[in-house]
Amino acid sequence: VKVKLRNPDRVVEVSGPGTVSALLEKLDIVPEAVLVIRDATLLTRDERVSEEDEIEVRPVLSGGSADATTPSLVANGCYTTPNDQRTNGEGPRS
Amino acid sequence: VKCKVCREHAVVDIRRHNAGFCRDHFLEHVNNQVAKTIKEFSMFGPDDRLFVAVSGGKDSLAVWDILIDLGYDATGFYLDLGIGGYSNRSKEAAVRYAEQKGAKLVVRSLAQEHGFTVPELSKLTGRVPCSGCGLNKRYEFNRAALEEGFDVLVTGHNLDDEVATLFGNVLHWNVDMLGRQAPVLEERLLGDGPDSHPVLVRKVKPLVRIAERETAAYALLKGIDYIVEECPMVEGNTQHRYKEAITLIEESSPGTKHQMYFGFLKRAADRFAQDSGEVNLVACASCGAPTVVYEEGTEPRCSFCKMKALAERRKIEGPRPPRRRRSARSR
Repeated sequence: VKVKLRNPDRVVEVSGPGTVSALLEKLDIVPEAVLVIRDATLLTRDERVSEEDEIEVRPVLSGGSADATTPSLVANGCYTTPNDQRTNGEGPRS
Repeated sequence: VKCKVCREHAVVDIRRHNAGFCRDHFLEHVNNQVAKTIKEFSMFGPDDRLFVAVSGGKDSLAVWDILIDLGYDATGFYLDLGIGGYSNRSKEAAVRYAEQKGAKLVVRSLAQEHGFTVPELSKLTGRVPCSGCGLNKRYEFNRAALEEGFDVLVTGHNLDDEVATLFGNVLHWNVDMLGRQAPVLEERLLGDGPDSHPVLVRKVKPLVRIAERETAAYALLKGIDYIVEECPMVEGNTQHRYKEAITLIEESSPGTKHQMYFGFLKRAADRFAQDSGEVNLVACASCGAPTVVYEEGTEPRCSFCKMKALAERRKIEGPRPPRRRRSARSR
C-alpha cells in the first residue's frame, strides 16, 4: 500500500492488505490523530485496504498559536498582566 | 461501520458518540452540533453581523462554512502575519474559499498596519514567535472587528483546542485564566453615559463541541481546500504537545476530552470566575485599547503597544540575541 504522509510530505510503502487499524499500527500512528483518505473520501478503522491502494494519512492536530482568544488577562486585545509590568512586556514568562 | 441514521456505509466513526455516519449525515450532525452550541451559550442571533477570523486552516474555514450554511451573515477576516511562503499559501486558501463560496473577506496585513511581521517581531523582542503572534492576533482581530462595525468575533477553536488550553492552565494552576476560559466572552465598554463605547468585541467559539478530527473530516468531505501544512514557527509548541498527550488518553478512553471540557464548564468554571472577579479597565494612553493599571501613577499602556514600542526601539538600537527561555505558560 502506498501511503502519503504529511508535514513534511512523503510517501512510504506499507505491506498490505489489511484494515486501516492494522495499517496505522504498522506506522505507529494513533488513529484519533489522523484522517485516512482514499479517493477523496474517508475510511473508518475497520475498512480494508488492498495492496494496490494509494491512501493518505493526514494529521489533524494543529499547534496553533498561543491561542488567539484564550480568555486570560491578556486575551482580549491588550490587557496588561502583572508579569508584563515586571518584564516590561519583553519576553515570555514561565 | 454503518451510518447510525440511514444504515448506509459510514465514512466517519465518532467513538465518543459510539456512532458512524455517512457523508451527508455526518455534515448534518456537525451542523446540528454547532447550531446547538450557538443556542446553548446564546452566542448570537440571526440579525448579528459576524466577523470570522480565518487562517486558511480547516477549523476556521469549517466554522465560516457552517455559519454561512446555517444562514448567518458571516464575513471572513484574514490577517497576514508575514510568515513567508506559509502566510502566502494560507492567504490563498482563504481567498480561494471566499471566491468559491461567494463570501465577503476582509484582508489586513500586520506589516502594513504596524510595520513588522511575526518573525521580525520575534527577532526584535526576543519573545517566542507563538506568544507574539497570539498577542498580535488578539489585538488585530478585536481592532478590525470594532473598526469594521461587527457585533461578534467568531473563531474556529475546537474541542481539542479548548481541552489543551484547559489542561495547560490546570498543569500550571493559572487560576486567572481558568476563571476566563469560556465559549463566550462578553463585549466590554469603556466610558460613561453618552461617551460609552465598546472596546472589546463579543467573542464566541461555536466549534467547542466538535473535536479537531471532526472539523478536519468536515472540511475534507465538504471539499474545502484548506492548508494542511503547519506554521513553520509552531514546531514543538506546548499546545501541540498537550494535544498529543490528550489524544492518547482519548484513544483508550473515548469521551475523555468532552467530559473534561464540559465538566469544567458545568462544575468548576464558576468557582474560578468568582475568584478572579471583574478587572477594572482603562484606556491605553497610546491606542485607546483597554488595559489594566497595576501600579498607581503609571500611564496605562497596553501589552501590544509595549511590544510595538520595544520592537521599534530595537529596530534603531539593533536586536538583542534571542533568549533561550521556554514558555511553560499556556494561553
